[in-house]
Amino acid sequence: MRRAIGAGGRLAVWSAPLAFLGLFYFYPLASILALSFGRGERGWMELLFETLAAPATQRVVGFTIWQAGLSTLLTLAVGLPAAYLTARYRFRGKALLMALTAIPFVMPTLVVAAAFNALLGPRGWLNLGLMALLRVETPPIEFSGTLGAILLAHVFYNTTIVLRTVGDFWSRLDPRLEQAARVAGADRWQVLRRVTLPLLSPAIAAAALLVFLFDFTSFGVILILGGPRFATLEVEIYNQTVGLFNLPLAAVLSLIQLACTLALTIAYTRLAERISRPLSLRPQTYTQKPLTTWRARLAAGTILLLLSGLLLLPLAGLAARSVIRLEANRGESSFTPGLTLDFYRELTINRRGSLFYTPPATAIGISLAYAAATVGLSLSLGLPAAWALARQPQAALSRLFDPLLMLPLGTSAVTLGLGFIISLGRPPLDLRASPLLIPLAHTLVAFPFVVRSLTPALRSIRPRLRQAAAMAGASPRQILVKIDLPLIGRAVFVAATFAFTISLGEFGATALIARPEYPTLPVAIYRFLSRPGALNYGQAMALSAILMLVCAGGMLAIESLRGGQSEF
Amino acid sequence: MSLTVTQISKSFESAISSGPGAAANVLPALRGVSFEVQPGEIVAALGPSGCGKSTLLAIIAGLETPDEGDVLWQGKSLRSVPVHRRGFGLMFQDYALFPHLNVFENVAFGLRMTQPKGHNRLVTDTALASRVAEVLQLTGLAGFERRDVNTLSGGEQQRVALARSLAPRPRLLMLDEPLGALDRNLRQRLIGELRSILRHPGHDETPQTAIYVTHDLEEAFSLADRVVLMNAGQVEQIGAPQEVYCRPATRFVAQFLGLTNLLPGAVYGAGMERRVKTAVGEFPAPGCAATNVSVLLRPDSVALNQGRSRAQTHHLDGRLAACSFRGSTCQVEVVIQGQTLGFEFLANTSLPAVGEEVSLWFDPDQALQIIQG
Repeated sequence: MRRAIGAGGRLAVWSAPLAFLGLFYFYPLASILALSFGRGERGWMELLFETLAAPATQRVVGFTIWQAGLSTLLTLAVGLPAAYLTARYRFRGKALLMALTAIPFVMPTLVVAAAFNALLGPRGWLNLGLMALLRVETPPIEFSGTLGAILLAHVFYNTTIVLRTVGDFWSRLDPRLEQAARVAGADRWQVLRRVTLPLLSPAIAAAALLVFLFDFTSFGVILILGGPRFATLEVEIYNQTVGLFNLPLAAVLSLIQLACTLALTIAYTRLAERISRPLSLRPQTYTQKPLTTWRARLAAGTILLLLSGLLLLPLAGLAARSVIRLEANRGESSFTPGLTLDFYRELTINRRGSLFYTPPATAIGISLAYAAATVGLSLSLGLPAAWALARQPQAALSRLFDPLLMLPLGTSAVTLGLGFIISLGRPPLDLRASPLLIPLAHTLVAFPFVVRSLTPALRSIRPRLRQAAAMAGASPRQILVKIDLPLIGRAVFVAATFAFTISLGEFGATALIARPEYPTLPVAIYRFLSRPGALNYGQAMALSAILMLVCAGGMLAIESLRGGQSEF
Repeated sequence: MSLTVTQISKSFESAISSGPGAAANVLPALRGVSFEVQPGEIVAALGPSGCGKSTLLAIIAGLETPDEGDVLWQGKSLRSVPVHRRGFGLMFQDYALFPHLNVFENVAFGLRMTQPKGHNRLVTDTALASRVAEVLQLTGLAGFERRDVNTLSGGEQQRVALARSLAPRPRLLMLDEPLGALDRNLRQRLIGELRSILRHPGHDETPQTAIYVTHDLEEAFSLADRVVLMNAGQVEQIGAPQEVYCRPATRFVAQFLGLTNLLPGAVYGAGMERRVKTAVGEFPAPGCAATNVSVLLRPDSVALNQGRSRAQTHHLDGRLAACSFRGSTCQVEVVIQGQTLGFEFLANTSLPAVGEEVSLWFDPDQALQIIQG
């Protein structure tokens, strides 16, 4: 089947994703890098070597890799047991659990920082409680400005990536392979180590790469929760660009970050080729069983408790803040602490007659429209790319393009955002007024997720099935529609979920390029947060709660769409 | 060493109707199944697909727990013994070879695991390698050690799966439709090989104790010392292949064995004088307790008029409706009193033309059998 489409056909499959990356990634990136280096007094090579030799740079690069690696390990430690639970068992409320665990992924950094501070900060619920309990004057838990805060926030954000990519793969892994190992005398631990984990390794590697890249380029979490003590490459780029306006240095740091991403992705691609194998995947109805034994129930309870503590508690704290008044509004001399719906009511009133006032319903509409466009765009670009990658893993084109697809994830959002502004805001490509600009930027971030979700599933389809279809007279295109797509239906929904949530929560690039009269929900939240006063803070919390609801609703809708279809 | 299965029952809740609100749809998979396997014996669990054979294996292996009943090894319950401590082997229906391991590593898998106490413990690498080489030799796979299992043919995969389940010297080997996916010729050859492998699993070793699950009569009869015939989760009959074939205990067994000349009969009279009345005539039924029975007319125990022996005292007259040549035999259909019955004659028997009258002579003791229900 590898010969079924010629070089011309392969290029045709690649053309749309490549054109997209060329126009909306490489062109803006090249523009901003050229502009930056044009400003410097010295050649960029000289500057690069000088920067690389500096101990300060080495420290920053070292810390960036260290915290990303540690965060990834922790995320896997939380995500893998949760993936096992959702993959192998049927239980009531699983769809709701899946929807809830996706919410952290869409929360803007500012809101997450606020949520964690509300829970663990010096005046947070936990410290307040402990101070009252232990009768001490100072908060016993130091959270803000620690490495622990950074790691916790990263786990909070990215557990859903592991849960989804690994969980989906796991749920279709033939349980008989594990049973065969059990009968051959392997205990549970040996089965896990020698059979399950090796078979899951393609999915785990894919999830780990995504999580690592996210943590590697993490920006808001480090800046807000970590404080000035910690600097990653992305934070340094931001400081150099916005704070010191040292564009040449920012560009050099961007290049270093890109090089790290590229090296990591190439290493991953080589690994993925080696570890992916044809598996006979089974429908979930076959692989999943109800929670019946006390051992399974106990394990499930523990995992659920951990998940809710880690993922849902901060969200709940945040939602609580949107209906509880703790401080006086500006201009009020007295107030009564307690439950209130004022923050929600205020959202619908344009008190200051602002030109850019947006009712919450409009912001929801704008966010959903952008999210829908992103899902459509990233699926229509990602499917051919993933298909080509899975079908010809050895082909020269695939080897070349596979790592390139991941680059947008490892690119500084600040650099790329500026690149968008200078290159897409002028002829020949003036997209400033186009409603597509934001979905395009979101697709750039969602694209690698879509490809990474689809490729393992496509790769694991046994070639024999495609051969059987071809023998029955199916053309390559018919094989795609009749065999590949139905078999990876679940993965397509996972990909769509990623695209939807990424678009809903994206803030960095959106803030730079969104037109003020069309704010998305995160942009609107940021507006409230950047204004002083308890009322604005409360409104930001209220709008965050609305964002959470929109996200959960969207996820449940996608899940129910899938539920109507037979899986295999 | 022996396995005893006592009164096993198991039901499954249907996965489709397990959603909220739906009434639990309980599907019984096994009902009161009991049998024994003696040391060195091959027992075949035989029955149509969906009769519960595979569930039975999963319960014996410890992969499923029974709702009722117990599995005993040498009289001791295995209820609290986990799967990997039972020292049993299971060869899966579609082999379940580990796709990430090569042939050698697949076969060595069980040897690398900790073995239960009192069981052959293979520690050294040389002992492991020599045992793998031995079973690969036994299964005709010598030289396949480094092959990727994903590139093997169906027959080769089947051999790897067999080698993998044999390697740790299981106390009991279970085979779940091991030849199901193979073509007829290969199957015929492998049945013979399989029997000799199970009988002589290595030099100076005792015959392998085994349970062999199949829906194929020929496989079960040619491999097994005894057969457990199952239908709809229940045991219909247990016995040696010849015994089962000659004396089917129930209507289902007779039909499953391809004995389809079953005539409903009513028994009347008393004691040794009892007779059974059917659509094609009346026959003696001495000592039969039931009143409504099936009368089986064995297709290979009748003769045509010319070739009959002295013992063949009864005869039936009918019309020859069809005749088909099957190599060593001829299968014929005869219509007797409106009932179509099938018979088998040696190929060299001279038969009248289709459409003509025939007389079939038989000895009631040999050819007739009265079956309950």
